[in-house]
Amino acid sequence: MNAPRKALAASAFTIGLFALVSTGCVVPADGYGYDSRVSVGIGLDYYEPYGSFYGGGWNSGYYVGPYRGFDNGGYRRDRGRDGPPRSFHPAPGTRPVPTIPSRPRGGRGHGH
Amino acid sequence: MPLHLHRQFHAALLSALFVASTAPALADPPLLPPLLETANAEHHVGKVILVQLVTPDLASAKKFYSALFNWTFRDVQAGGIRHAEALHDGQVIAGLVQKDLPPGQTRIPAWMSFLAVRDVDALKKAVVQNGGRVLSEPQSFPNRGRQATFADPQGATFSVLASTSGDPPEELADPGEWIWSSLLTSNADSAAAFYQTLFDYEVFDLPAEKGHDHLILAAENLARASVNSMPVARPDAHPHWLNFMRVENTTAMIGRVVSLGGHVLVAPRPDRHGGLMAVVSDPQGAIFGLLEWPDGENKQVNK
Repeated sequence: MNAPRKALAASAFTIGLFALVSTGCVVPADGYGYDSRVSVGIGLDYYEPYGSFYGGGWNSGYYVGPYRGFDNGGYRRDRGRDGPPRSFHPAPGTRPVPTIPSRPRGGRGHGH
Repeated sequence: MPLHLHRQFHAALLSALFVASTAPALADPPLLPPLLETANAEHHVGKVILVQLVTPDLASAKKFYSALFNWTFRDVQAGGIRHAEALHDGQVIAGLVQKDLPPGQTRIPAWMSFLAVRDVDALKKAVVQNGGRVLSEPQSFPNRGRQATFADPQGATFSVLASTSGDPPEELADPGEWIWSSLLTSNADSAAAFYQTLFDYEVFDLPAEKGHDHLILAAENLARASVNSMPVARPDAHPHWLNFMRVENTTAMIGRVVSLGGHVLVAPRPDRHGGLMAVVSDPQGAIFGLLEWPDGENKQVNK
């Protein structure tokens, strides 16, 4: 291979190397769709894995909303003495279940 | 071409490629507006203080949400990123980011929850020590604060923000604003322990279906979010945070969602607090909840 051809080959190799390096950085991390190229700008680049969350299975007893503060002070699940141990530290049984803020914006309402 | 010209060409090419490849990393971060128009000294660690959408069609998303919730938008152009702040009654309540979805990708846009913290870097250490992962390293944005994005041990993603303008005050959300967040996860017990370690929450164990958990995460004597087992029919669904918008009439809002090109995923149904809730998606597929929260104090509670 003569010198000009070697120089051209080196250029081609360099271009390929840079292309590989620059695009290799944007492969989504572990399937979460994170793209470091965009994360540089705003730190947020995420698409949930497709679908499958919904479309059934929300039975009548499946609740996700907040507890609404009423005069009974909240109620708890009664697991009984034989209930499985929890990984978290449950709030003391004497503590009423909190609700969300109730004070209207800019006003002096009924506190939290 | 003579050899020396080849070498000059080669050197110039290398320089150009180096500059091109490093420019994004060296660019200044986007100048995001502060979270609060009027800064305060409030900090509410563990509270969801911002919800941000990544969407492949920013223009359509703005059209959909402005028609649905009367949001207005303020465009932020920086660093080649298309970003918009959503406002409701002059308050910043959401961010929307344009991100093209590569062809063939089977993913959907998502609303990301931002939880308030005081020290993002300390929280990052706690995340890693407790089985979570770092998806986006801590990064500072002038005016906005410092933020990072993580995955919890079950795989649900969340972000944290140490806001330089303070955190929103403890006020009831108006209709058209975020009012609640729920984590739907494969192991509610472990997830609650993880978030309790990170944010020092109190955890309240509410009655739930057999084999399921409905846990309330609270701080400062206020409920911040729930942690729920996956629904019966979807035990293998991907863990995720679901954010709820306060609405005055869930059923009526469902009709508007559909007329604007969105979809109903969970039809209106009563929840524990006595109001109706539903789960919908925007035309691009981003999922969010609708939640009625009556102002009155005498509504029936579903136990």
